[in-house]
Amino acid sequence: MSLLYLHPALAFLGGLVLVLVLPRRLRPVALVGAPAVALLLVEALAARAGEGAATQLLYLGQTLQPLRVDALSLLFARIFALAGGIGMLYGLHERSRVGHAAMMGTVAAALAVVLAGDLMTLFVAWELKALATTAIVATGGMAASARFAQRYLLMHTLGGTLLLAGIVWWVVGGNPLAFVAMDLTPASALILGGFALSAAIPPLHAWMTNAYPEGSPAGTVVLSAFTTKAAVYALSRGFPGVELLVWVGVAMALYGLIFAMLENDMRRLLAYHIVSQVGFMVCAVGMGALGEGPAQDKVAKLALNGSAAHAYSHILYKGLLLMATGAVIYATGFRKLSELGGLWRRMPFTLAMLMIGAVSISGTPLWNGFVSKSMVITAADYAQRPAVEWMLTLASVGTFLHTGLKLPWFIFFAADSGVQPQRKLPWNMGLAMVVSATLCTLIGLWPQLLYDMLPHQSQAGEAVYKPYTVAHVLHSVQLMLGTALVFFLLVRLLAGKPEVQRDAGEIYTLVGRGFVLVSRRVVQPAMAATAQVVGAGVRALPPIGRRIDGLRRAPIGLWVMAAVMVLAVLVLVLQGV
Amino acid sequence: MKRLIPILAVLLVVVSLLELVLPVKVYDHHPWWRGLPGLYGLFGAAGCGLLVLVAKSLGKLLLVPEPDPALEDERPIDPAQMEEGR
Repeated sequence: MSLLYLHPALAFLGGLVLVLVLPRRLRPVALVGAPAVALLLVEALAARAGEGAATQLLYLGQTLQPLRVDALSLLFARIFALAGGIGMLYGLHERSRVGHAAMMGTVAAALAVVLAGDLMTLFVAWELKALATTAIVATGGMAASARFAQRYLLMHTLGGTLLLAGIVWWVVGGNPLAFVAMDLTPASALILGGFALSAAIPPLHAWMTNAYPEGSPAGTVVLSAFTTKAAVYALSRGFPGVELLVWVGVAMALYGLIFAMLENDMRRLLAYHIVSQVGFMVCAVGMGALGEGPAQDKVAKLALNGSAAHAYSHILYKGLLLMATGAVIYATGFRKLSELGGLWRRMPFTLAMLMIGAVSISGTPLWNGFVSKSMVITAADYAQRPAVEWMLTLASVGTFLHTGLKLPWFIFFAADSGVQPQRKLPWNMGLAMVVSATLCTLIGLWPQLLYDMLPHQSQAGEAVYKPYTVAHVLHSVQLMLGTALVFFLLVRLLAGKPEVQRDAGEIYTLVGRGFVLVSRRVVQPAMAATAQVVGAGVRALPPIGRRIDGLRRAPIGLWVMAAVMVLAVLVLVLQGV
Repeated sequence: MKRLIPILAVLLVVVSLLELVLPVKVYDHHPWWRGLPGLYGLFGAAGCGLLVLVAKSLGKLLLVPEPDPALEDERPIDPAQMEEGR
């Protein structure tokens, strides 16, 4: 039975069309309406999940599954629709029609990714997401937006190519097209590579740390919620229990932290921090090896649940942090910590919102980070992997240090920079932040709201994860107090200076230069020689009239391209028929 | 601000002592020192110090002065300019 008409991506696709055609006064209808409809569709799907809501299509001799509904995809679909709504609300006032359309497209594509049951649908949705997110970066309105959008597109095209190569190799090797957990082979390793790039696993992360700070305030909020988390979903679905991911995750968690601490640009700091938090999720996926005995199963379920729970919470509180810093940028025009300070008197509401995001991300009891991040660390504890456990705990210290302490301190307190807000925040930005902050708090107080959505529910007789234990609360509070103590002792050392940091992006420049060199010395002479030969052959033909003569002089490459395109379209059409 | 540090220190001691008074679950596979009160506070403090140290050291390697705004594109954004969407 086809439930395709209930696909929530359709709501955002409709929203995309409306945003492009409606007059500006009516655009808010689409911006708020699309997410609302999408949320309803997700719930409708959830209600029908028992009917095995897997829709199938036949194309090119393969069975596609554009809609696959289970607990994991529903969780991500829910938070994506929700985050899309919050992001659109936050960006209601922005003027760029294309920017809004790009946001709609991003959410639609992201929903298609998490509900895709087969690799082909996944790939198409993945590429569409890359295009839509590039458009968000390009329309960011910052000075460097266009430049970083180009790099962003190049990197994501690379990721998409890896993904496609891997998928083709995988299927040709006799594996089914269904998107399920895969064994690690050279073919699936390419797929993993494609996912890893989107997850911003270093050294493939620079696209994010370069591009996110250059989006518009709302654009970056939308960006942050979807690309990396869709990749986390994909890793969780395709590669649970791959041991490599445990160590990659731990390394990411610490790498992102170090660079976040050095960073002066507010939103780039948060972007590096995304790398760190995604590291937690990736590490958790790595610990999720099911089917290896009851003790390991307990660890794996907690880890996979932790990964999903952390992704859910992270979308909420990272969105809130980006919204608050976006609000500071909107109001003051400044984006660097070295240029800010003393804003607490002039922007108290924004400070409050930032602090809620900050305490959430730091894992303070009563907020959502406390009930989600700890699942991953506890899983490492149950797995008796103290190295992993303590390194992730160190990452938590670092998180609190730079996002919970340094960021608010240098924006709102510290030496007063004299910066004044130039304009008031529009009501929609404030409301969006309040919604996020409320959800962060609500989940912290009633974690069962989140836990009921997790993919691996406890069976009868199995222990249930309880975040509010005496040990957990006391240890978390101690950890934060100890960190805060040393922070304030050393605070002078941490002041931002107008500096920028080198990072993996430098590698790209080197590779790019090498490529251009090879191209000039080797490829271009070869192409010129070929053109000479072919051109001589073509000119040897008898002239058939002036018009044809003109065409004969057209670049050979153009002819080849045209021929290939015609052939490709013919093949696709005839196959489908 | 000056009083903040002693307040934090006192709170830390109090919460650490609570660990002795309140029932804290201990796992079989944990070594003896994990039961010590204040362990996590110490870890937070030491971890923070370590991370700041590492950051400052790496900063010497990795940080370069911001490029001259006249040459680079990273001007502070004029809020009035941002009204013009593309």
